[in-house]
Amino acid sequence: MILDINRVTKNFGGLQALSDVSVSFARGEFAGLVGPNGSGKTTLLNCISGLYRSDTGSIRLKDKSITGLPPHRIYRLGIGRTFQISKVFNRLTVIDNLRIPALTEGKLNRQEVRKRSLEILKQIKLDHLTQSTAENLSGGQRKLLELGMVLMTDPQILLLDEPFGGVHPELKSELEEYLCLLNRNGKTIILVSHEMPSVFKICQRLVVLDHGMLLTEGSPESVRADERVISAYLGGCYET
Amino acid sequence: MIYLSQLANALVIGTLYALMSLGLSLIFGVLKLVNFSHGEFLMLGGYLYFLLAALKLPLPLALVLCIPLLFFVGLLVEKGFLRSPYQKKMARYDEYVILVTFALGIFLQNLALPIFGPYNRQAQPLFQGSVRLGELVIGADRLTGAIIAFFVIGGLLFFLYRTYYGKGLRAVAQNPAAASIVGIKVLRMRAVAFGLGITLAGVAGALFGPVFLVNPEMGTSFAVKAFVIVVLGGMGSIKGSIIGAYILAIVEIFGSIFLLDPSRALAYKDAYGLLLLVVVLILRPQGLFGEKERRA
Amino acid sequence: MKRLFAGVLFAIALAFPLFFKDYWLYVGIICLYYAMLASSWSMLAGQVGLISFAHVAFAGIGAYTSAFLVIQAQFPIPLAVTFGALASAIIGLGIGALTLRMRGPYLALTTLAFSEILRIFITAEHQLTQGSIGLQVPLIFGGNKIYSYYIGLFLFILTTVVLKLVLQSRVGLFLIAMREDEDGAATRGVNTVAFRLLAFVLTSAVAGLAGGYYAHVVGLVSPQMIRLGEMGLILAMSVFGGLESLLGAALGAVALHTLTEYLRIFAEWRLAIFGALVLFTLKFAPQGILPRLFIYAEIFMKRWMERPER
Repeated sequence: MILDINRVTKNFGGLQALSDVSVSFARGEFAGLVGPNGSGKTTLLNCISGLYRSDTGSIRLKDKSITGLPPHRIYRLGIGRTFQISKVFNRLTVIDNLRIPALTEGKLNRQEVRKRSLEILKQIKLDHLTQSTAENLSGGQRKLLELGMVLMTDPQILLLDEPFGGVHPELKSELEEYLCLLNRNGKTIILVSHEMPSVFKICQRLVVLDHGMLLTEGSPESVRADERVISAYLGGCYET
Repeated sequence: MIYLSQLANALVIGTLYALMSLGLSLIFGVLKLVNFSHGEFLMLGGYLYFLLAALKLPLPLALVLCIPLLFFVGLLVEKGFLRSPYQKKMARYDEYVILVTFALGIFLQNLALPIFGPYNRQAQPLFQGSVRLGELVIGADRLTGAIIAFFVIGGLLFFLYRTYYGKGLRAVAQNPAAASIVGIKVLRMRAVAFGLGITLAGVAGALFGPVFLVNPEMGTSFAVKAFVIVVLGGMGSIKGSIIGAYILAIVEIFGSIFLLDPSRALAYKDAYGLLLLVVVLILRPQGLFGEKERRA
Repeated sequence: MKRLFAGVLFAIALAFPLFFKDYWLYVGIICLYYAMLASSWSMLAGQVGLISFAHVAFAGIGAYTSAFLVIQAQFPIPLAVTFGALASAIIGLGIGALTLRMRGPYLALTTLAFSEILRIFITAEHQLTQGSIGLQVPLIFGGNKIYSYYIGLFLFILTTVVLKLVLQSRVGLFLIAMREDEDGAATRGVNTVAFRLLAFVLTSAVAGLAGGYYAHVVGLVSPQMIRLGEMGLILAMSVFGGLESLLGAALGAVALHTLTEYLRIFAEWRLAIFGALVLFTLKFAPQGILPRLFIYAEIFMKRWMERPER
């Protein structure tokens, strides 16, 4: 198990975002984190990536505790994260956006960083926009840029929050292929998404949250047929 | 029994504080910005009332006339400086509004200085002398000011919670996108909120004027009090601003009684509020009733 | 083009005392004080995106610390000024640490409160500080304006070069990233805590240095230098000259302070005119009037150089 989340709780002044959530992820797995709106998926990602400090519980990366570490340390330890609304640096150029994560590591010198940036740019197919300012990119391009930024330091674990949001279908299937490729090359991917078709297609295991609690987990087929999951999404008033 | 008199005093002052802070809170709630020129609009109200009174207008009329004038100025400012950056989704909007409102405040203060001179002015209060309520003695000017403020606040609350426009304002404060979907004109609401917020500050200034004397610098110290109150009560919380106002008034009045060294006490009076502000901002930035900022 | 421009400015600055004496030389000295304050403030507010209203307070800390060390402990002036800058840097670190989680208006309010608390404290403790009358301070070089000017120029260039080097290094890139999206920067490996503190320490050290310089060339330190009006002036200078350019803000300072002198006729309306100028700049040229003029100049130069040969 590469990532262990143990009895994590997070409370926001009366709103219980996460209650006693425990789940583990295996190395190299491609997991989907799903659940209706407000179920705590993004909060869980925020706790893992260090933006929030969980109230109770622990999060361990390869048996080392990362609870309460600042976000930059967690990134350097190998957990990369993208956001529902892409966080790119608007007034910097695309290539500067990519250089930053690598520069913080300090492992590569300037030329090597530049070289790697150009490599990644080719991989995410944005090389024609190298010198463009990030704020001029379309929504889909920003998502790709964000992914590229995260990949600059080759993290072992990727936490992706709605990577398909607002992306047109052609780009979506390219993205799906790219993510599968990254997974085949050994990356552990935890995907939060509402795009059910994509999730069912590429994820090996689904973890379902509802109202901040772990509802169930399992293969896409078993989760899909699970009554509790269906009623959680549809509000419990519907019969299948 | 001296305490009772001071308490009454605190309640009176608190009502006036509440009036000016509600304006700040409203502006923050709907436009999501801290109006760093709020104190200067209070000063503007004070001078406006003074001018209208000096023109020999009947005093109640002078007071009432301030309202549309101030509202109009508020609309102008919003249209002139805040509208297009918001509409065009300017890159550093949050920082821009801090700079622009701060600059506006400095500008107004320095405009008042040559126009009105640095001396204190005193407008005619509506009633003079003092009022006896049993054992309490309160200045009539303060009491009338507080009573009028009380009714204005009441009117504001009625407006916010019972009228369409008021509910529109609250809707925009909670979620501009959702508000616009249900047909509320967000831009208009923002303008109204700003105009209204400014007017509340100005009316407070007009009511304060006879009590505290009007001078170009008065804006700063009242603005600081307003900031303390709004932060303490929680930015954007109406209830919080009202409660915070009374808390500050009580702390100020009883603080200066209990402090030992009288000569320094006066100098440090403003510092209490400032310290309270810093402490709240560091330890509990959402104040008593405000919302915690969520990330990502 | 920019290098040429900077070079020309440097030459002008160097030659300044040859053409201007006494009164205008003194104006030049004060311009240097404001230039240091404006450029460092613009780094914090413009490049890093942290609007702090405590900047003049740091200048005050530098000034008073230096003054005390010279008067009470007989420190030589250069050493005292250095310690003044150090004191400002340390307090800057403290403020930075206290405000780590703050952005935008919350940061502005806290720093504003701090500045006012300091001013009230200095005014109230008049046994210690002479209160609002101000503290008389020994002058450097016995008041020789020419030496004072060149020292000021040296300090200005030193601080600007240091700040510029930081901004052009990878640290500068990280700071801009933090400005654009602090959480985003953090999750991409930028140690936002450390760099935020660095930004505060650096800029408040510069402010403290400027304050110490001011103390010993003017000879008087008073709470007047910590008034919010002074902060407004720095804001005006930086906005006018260009928030995102160190040199721009410095030029804005020179421009506005010299304008102060020319506007003496209008006496009390001066500051209102400045206020109007700032509002005008913010509305029509938010990146600053000077950068806008620079762009026009560049366009003009380009057209002039590409004109068809006769």
